[in-house]
Amino acid sequence: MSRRVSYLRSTRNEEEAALTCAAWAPRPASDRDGPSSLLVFARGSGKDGNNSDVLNGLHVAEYDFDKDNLSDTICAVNTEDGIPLRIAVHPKGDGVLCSFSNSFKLFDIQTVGSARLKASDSQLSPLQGIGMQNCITFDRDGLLLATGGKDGHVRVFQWPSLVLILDEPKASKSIQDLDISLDSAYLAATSEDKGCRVWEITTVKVVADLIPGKEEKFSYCRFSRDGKLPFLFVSSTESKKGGAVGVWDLSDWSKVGYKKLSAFPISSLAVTRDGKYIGIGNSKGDVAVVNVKSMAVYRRFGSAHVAPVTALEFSKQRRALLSVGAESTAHVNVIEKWEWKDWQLYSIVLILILFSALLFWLFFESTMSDDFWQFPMGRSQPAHPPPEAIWGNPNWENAAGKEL
Amino acid sequence: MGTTDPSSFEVLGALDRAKTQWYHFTTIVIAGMGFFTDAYDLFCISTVTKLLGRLYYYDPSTGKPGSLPPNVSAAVNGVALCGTLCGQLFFGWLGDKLGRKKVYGYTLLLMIITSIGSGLSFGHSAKGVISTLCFFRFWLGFGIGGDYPLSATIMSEYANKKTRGAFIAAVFAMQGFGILGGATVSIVVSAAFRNAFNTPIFTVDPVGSTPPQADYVWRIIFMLGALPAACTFYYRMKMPETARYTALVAHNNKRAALDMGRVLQVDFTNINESNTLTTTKQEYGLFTTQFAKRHGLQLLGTTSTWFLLDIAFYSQNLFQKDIFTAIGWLPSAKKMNALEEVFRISRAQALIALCSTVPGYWFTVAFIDIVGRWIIQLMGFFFMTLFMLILALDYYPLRGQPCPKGFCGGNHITFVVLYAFTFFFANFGPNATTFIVPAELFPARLRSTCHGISAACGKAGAIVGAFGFLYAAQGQHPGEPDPGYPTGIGVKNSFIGLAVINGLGFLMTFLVPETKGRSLEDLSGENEAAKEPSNTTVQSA
Repeated sequence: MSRRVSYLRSTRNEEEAALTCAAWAPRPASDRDGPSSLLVFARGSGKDGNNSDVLNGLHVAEYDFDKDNLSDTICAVNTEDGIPLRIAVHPKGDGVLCSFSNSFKLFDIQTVGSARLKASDSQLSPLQGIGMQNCITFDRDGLLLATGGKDGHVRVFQWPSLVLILDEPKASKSIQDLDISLDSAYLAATSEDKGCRVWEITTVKVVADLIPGKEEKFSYCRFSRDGKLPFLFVSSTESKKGGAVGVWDLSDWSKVGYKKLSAFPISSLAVTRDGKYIGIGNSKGDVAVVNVKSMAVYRRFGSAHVAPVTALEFSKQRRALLSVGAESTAHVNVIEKWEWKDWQLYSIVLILILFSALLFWLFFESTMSDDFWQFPMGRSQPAHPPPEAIWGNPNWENAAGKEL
Repeated sequence: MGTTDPSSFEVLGALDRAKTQWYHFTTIVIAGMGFFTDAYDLFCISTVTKLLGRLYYYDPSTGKPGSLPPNVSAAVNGVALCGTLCGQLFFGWLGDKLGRKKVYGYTLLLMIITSIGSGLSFGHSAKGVISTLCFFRFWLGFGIGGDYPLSATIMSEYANKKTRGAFIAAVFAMQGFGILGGATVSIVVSAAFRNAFNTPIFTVDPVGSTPPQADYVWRIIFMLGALPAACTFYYRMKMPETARYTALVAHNNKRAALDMGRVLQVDFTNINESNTLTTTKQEYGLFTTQFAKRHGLQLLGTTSTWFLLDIAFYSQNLFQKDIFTAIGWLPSAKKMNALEEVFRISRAQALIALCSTVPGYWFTVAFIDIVGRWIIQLMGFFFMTLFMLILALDYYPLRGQPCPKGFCGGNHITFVVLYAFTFFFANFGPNATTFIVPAELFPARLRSTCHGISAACGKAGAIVGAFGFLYAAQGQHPGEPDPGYPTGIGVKNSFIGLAVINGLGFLMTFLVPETKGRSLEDLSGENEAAKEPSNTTVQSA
């Protein structure tokens, strides 16, 4: 099974802007991947440049699923506020939210006609000046925005009104990752010192504190996107044992599973939109897609990057997996390319054999075959010889016609 | 687009440099067993058709031993060739899709089952016997066809750079042992039956010359063909996937290194897992302009040479009958009984195989990595053309005129020597090289498909050679052709045609590059990306 990957990489030139993060920006109205999808890449060089080169900015490229082809940058926009650190694409098409070292900016994305990015007019004043954020994410409906600060401050805002509905200033020393559940009821946040903490968003109460074992460190968390499997996946690293993913049940917060999936620490985690698969990226740059039901690796993309995988995101129908490496490259790994399955191929052989047997039988039964074989005694010439002939039965002529 | 990171080339480089070791020889036997079975069955069918004719087509009114009518003979002989052609295309493609190892066991299983099946018959009638035989032989051919691309690919991907040609040739040379194995079994079985049933010759007792027990002879011969294949089945299933497939197609270097470390003593210690640069390269498919540009002419070369060779190679059997009769190895059919005929034909064919075919195979094994494939192929085609021309121009003087003893006059020694040399230079020549080169030229993800396509073209040539020329070689005037055949262009003209075909093969060889001593990745261009990372960037910021 061939693996096909599309690359987007920066050149090694120091003057060029390094890739910081990337996300799918699918056309909002559609639930499908469509023939192609847009991708947003954030690049930053650390310099303020007002010349024509976009040094700190967002770039849009288009990925064609069928051709497995990633286009050149279609359009780029200067962010002006410095290096774009994190981006979150609004699921309903409100735009791309971009966080900087101490500010936020929203960019409208025009997906009809030729794609175009444009800085939005909205000021996002409640978001400005809240410090550096390690992670920002929208919930599935695009009605909530969660941010996890480098200073350990967790916030949940309503979108687009930006009313602060959950505010935890001292959730931990520093938030590593957070995620909002499928029904927008829970917020989970991981940190190196406090493990994984889960809030109920409406009541603003901590409902669970998932504590890592000794010598274990939690890193990333994702809620399942499958309504029938209400799980929370938390990746963890046990010293010297590599990366594993633990699974918790949302109903009683009991740990239902734990599986070592990588020889190296897991450095990013993603869930497909149907929740059937999770994606993991490790510190060696390998990417793998894991089947949730069996918790077994379904497809592995060895050495997708040469540095830790820093971000992973599945396309809408999990046909492709976007991964970003710390060496400033982004890859699109095709997962759901239509391939022949083993059993299909073997059943083709079987069907061919049966079909040929049928043809042989039809030919055998038809009178055409008598003309073809031209037996001197015609159609009913006996098979020669009957077994009795061998064993000396004198009446073998009478037994002619017996099956061998 | 795809990635091939340099560390996979380090894994494969380690394989290329690996010392020749015991597992290589084991692989030759495991991979070669398909060819053993292939040759065994192809060989046996010519003796079996004689026997079937006597058993099922004896018509007392003709006063001659029964023989298969032309169309039945063509069906029994040709159905396996058609199956082989289909199998080569199908399994060749499958070998690239699923991996060589995965499919490899199934082709052998198919061969075993169908070999046994061809010895059995459904129903109570003679029609049932022949129909069943044709059915199973088609699928036997299908399995054999699958073995061509897979064996070649597996062997070329296992081998090291220095002795790769010899290893693939050695797999192919198992055909020689298949012929000898088939001959031995036929000789032993027919001799045993001949001694057990003291049967008179045809002219003395037309009916008694074909004892009913002879029906078991061909069944036993066919079924015993499954035995060597069945013996290697277990080892075939245990074989690991080739490192080149795992690393270049499935992209799993660690697995490739692990698999190879299991069976071969290869030093992987200097393989750097954390490579510094990832490169991308277009992974073009078979029906792309890029493939056409890069490998198009090569594929044309490998397919056309194989096609042309097999026309000549498979039609050589046509004048076998005359040869054997000329040197007195084969009395006329009337002067033998059925078992004697099987015995005589087997012995004659075994002698030819032993003296010309088998040495030809092993000459190739010995010299292919010294003089190279290209020279061998060119030389083979040249001498085949030469000897064919001599035979064509001097056929009747050499053979002599029909007389009661067979053929009188003529120069029988020269006749046989020329004949044996054409066989020798077919095998120490294009027959081996057309098999080897397609397994080396193409990129790993298309290697077995391309080998399958080339091999299928070869089989198409075999069908043309075996049947086209069977009809073509018949006499030009009414009454001359063998019973049941229409008039043809005559033996002499057929030979001239074959000489021309060999000459064409000589010319087409110029499309095929030399592969001696080069690594597979070098030949297919798969390591170019690793060498020149500058032009691999799909997009830069």
